[in-house]
Amino acid sequence: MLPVKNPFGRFVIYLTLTIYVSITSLPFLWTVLQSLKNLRQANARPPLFIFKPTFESYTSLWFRTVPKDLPWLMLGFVVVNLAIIVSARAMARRDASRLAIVMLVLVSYYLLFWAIPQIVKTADFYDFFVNTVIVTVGTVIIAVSVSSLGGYALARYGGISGAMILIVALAFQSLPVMAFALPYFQLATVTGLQDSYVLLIMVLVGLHQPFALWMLRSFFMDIPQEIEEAAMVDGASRLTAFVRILIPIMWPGIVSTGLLVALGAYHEFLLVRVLTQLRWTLPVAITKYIGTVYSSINTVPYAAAVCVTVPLLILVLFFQEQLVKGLSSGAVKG
Amino acid sequence: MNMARSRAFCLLALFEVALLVLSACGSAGAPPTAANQPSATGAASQAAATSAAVQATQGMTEASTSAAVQVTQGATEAATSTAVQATQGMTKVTTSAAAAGCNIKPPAQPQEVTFLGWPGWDVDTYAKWLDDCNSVNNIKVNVRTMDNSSAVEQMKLAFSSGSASPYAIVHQSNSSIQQNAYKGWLRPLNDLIDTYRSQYNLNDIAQTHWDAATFDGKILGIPMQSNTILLMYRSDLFEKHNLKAPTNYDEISTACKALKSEPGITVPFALDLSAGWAWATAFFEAIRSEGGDFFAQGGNAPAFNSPQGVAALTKLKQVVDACMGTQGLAMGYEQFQAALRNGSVAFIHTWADGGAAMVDPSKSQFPNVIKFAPAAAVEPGGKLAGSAWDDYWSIPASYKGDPDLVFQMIMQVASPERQKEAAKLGLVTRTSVASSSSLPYATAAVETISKGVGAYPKSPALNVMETALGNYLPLVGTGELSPKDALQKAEADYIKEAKTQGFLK
Amino acid sequence: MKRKTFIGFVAPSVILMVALLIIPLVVAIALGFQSFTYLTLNARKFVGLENYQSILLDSRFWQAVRFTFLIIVIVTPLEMIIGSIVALLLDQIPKGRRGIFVSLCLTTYVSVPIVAAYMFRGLFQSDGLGTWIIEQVTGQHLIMNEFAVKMLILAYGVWRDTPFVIIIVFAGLQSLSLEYLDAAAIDGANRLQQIRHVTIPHLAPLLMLIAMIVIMAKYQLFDAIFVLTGMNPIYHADTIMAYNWRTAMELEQLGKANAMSILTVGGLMIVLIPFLVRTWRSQTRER
Repeated sequence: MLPVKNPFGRFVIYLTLTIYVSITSLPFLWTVLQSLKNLRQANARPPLFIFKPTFESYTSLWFRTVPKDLPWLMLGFVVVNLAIIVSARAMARRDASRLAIVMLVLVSYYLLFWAIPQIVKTADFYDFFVNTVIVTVGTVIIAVSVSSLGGYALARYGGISGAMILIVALAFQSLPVMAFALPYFQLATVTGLQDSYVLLIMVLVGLHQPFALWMLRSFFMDIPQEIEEAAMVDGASRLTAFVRILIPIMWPGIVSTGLLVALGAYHEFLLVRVLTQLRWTLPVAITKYIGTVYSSINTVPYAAAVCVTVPLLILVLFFQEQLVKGLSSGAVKG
Repeated sequence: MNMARSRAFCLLALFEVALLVLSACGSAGAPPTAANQPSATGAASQAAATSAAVQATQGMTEASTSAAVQVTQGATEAATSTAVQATQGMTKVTTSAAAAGCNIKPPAQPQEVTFLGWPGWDVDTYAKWLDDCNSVNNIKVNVRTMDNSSAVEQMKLAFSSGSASPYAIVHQSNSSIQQNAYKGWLRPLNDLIDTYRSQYNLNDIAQTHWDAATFDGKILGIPMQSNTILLMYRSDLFEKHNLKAPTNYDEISTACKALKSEPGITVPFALDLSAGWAWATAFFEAIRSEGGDFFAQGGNAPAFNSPQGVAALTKLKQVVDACMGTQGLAMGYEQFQAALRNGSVAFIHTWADGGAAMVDPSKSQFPNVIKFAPAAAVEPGGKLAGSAWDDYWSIPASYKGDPDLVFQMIMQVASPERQKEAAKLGLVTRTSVASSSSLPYATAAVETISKGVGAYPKSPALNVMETALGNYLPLVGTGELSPKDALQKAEADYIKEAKTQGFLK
Repeated sequence: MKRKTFIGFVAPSVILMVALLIIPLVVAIALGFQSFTYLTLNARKFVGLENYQSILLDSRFWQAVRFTFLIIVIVTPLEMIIGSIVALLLDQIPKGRRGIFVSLCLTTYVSVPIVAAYMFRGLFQSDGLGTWIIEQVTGQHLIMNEFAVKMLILAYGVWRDTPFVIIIVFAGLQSLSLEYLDAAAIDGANRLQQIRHVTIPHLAPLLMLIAMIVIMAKYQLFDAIFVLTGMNPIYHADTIMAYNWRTAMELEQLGKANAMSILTVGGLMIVLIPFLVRTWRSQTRER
């Protein structure tokens, strides 16, 4: 549509968008509000909008014993995280891949997570959070590296076998996980991998790899073949050309794909529930609060819902560009 | 080397330093560590942090890829040394505090002991005590809780896989213990109970509790919590309308009519009929109160499609119509307990352990006027429609760790001293403790248990029956099926499924 | 690219797909012909087509199918219309100011389904904001009967997936050259005519695609039902997936549950066929 010039029209546009967006974010905002109340305030009718907020639900969610200098620790945590995220974002936007930097971010997070239990006594929600991070990161790394190889080959090689692989990938990326729950459960029993990170990552890679393959193929198809051919004329093997020349060019596409795979892994509920007994991820851990007595004795369930959503919010805030790109190119080119 | 890249390196080096300082502060600042040469620890980790910082800066000036490696290495080394110190500090402190919490001889091999259950006052309190055993060398305790039906599903998955159970202790109710008992998924505890009977004074737990957990002579669970159904009501509203606490379902319906018009009350009375299993439970209490039963004497043949069954269901339906409506049908016990506390429900039939929150001023808006009475009977003079419910802790049959150790850990939580603490929150199972309970609802609870409908029937087919009933009874509540039709359909379903599974010939 | 190199590059992907998707699917199909519960997980009985027969004769299964299709038929058009309108409006705003709106839309879409459903339900609990607003507006209590719960499920569907439509339609709009619209405007077409004759034809293939994706997502709706109905049978609000779950977890008829998944897979494949054909063509083309 051509731009609307008349000021009243523009006002209506902004108003409509604002109304839509506020309705859309209402459930989240309401949950945040409820999580800051005590139970009496949360149950009150009519709903309270002005009250003295308490962070008790959050502290009892995360800590076994609440540390005395909590505000300072929180500040440190937020600053460190923010720094890592900002630099990770800078890297995601760069035109070149920097595996070393990615590794550094991972090491930083490892240290961060490792340091926290040394400082404070954390509750089990923290363990579930760490599990989620491990599983999500593992899934993304493996799924993306495997499928960028495959996606590249599929983009450069036509023919029946390539088409077969793609068809299978496409068919499987939209199947209900329910169909796989029992076979995976048996796989876990047979291999003895029940309740291990390895199994969870393997299964999630299996589920999301077709999608990543599909998406990366379409990204690679945008890159002219001449680029790696020039390098190969200079004597580089195809693999070297792929790693040295193509991956840097492809980096934004890889980041987009990785983000979507991360979302998929983070969202998984049913399979994780079937396959793990101890190493729950956050969506499964949330069943500790939903539908149990907790929802009638405190506001911790609201806090848990907020805490599960916040990492995703951060993702949206810092990686919006890449997410939108991934979502739209996945569909537009698909 | 471009600018952006070195900027990223700078930033990362800074985080590493920040992290180390953070972890150093933590280990030095934590009060218990103070005993463990605080200055030395602090200084050492600070030194480590500084060295990391120095290395990091070096790396930056070099500004090459190898810098990255160096930064990481430096950071990791320094970090590890701090880690070791920090952990050392912590173990020392905790072992000194251990004595009060967990009196167990440390096992020779490291053992991971995991508990699976559903949250409630009992698990919340007991789990904290179980956690104390973390302080014993070589023991690591995990506590996992999820909503009741999810937890039962997790058990099904874990025990049916045929591999070693990841859980050492599983929470059981009267209903779930049956499912697991007849499948052979729980370890008989008779040997352990005999060994430790005198040490932990197990005779103090009344025989009725043990009986409900005994299947073919095998005791499959340790009674940890006792529970029953109570009537909780707003005495101020009842006085205002000149009502007494109802003792049967007709009186409940009458009271509802009076209280319906009360401002702020959306549903005058509620009992849990929010799901299929909840209907099955309520129906069990009602049919027993009427003198009927789920199963025919000594077998798996269904007996619920009887005049008593129809009468019980009709009474339930009357209460639904007079008191609850669709709104009440949708409320689970956790919701209407909250509703009683915030004043939108006038009286409820619910689990006794919800009582503590009713009189807690920080949770309830009517702590002084909510009162407790025994559960109502269906017909005047009948048995009270509240079952004797226990929660058990069991050890899975497929658990491969040391059952002695796990048993002793359970006993730490069920010790008389601990049960005295627990008795402030809910009903416990040791007679010596329960008899001196100071809970506001203790009298009502004792009366319901003694004059009530007793424990759940024991049958391997109970689960099948509950599912069959759960599929049709809710439709009576909405008026889609008559009580008679619903019971007939449930009976047909039950017979079909029980035959497939071999419970009926 | 040489065939040998190709095989080397795709080998890891293919191995993963065979081991983690194709073999499990074959296992699932085999399990669909057997009868077993959790207790007899390792002592299964072959029953042939009995499971399929009992599904097709099961009135509750058909009820679930009907409700699933009801959701698809009502929610998909709503999502498409609201999403396209918002995307068109979003396209009107200068670039620098879009960020906040896109972020808020995305937040809904990326949130964990089961948590999103929980937050949505929170609005309509007895102490929720939504309940209170409805009471103020209509003067009546919000009663959670079958109708209300089904409406909530539909509203949840629209709420959660519309942002996806917005983002993709918005991306599609970026590729529409303003020249066409200018040309149309010079020819005297008003805005509605421009949208009708230029924008919509341009977006048509994309809209079809979005509709397909949305339909497939709705087909598999489970989390919302799980949270919003608490699996209470009085609402008659089982979707195919929810009933499948009930069969496996509550009724413990694992063989039947598996057969049901296989039927779902078959149904999805039918929706997918145009997609698959297109892929086949594009990949077998010479390059």
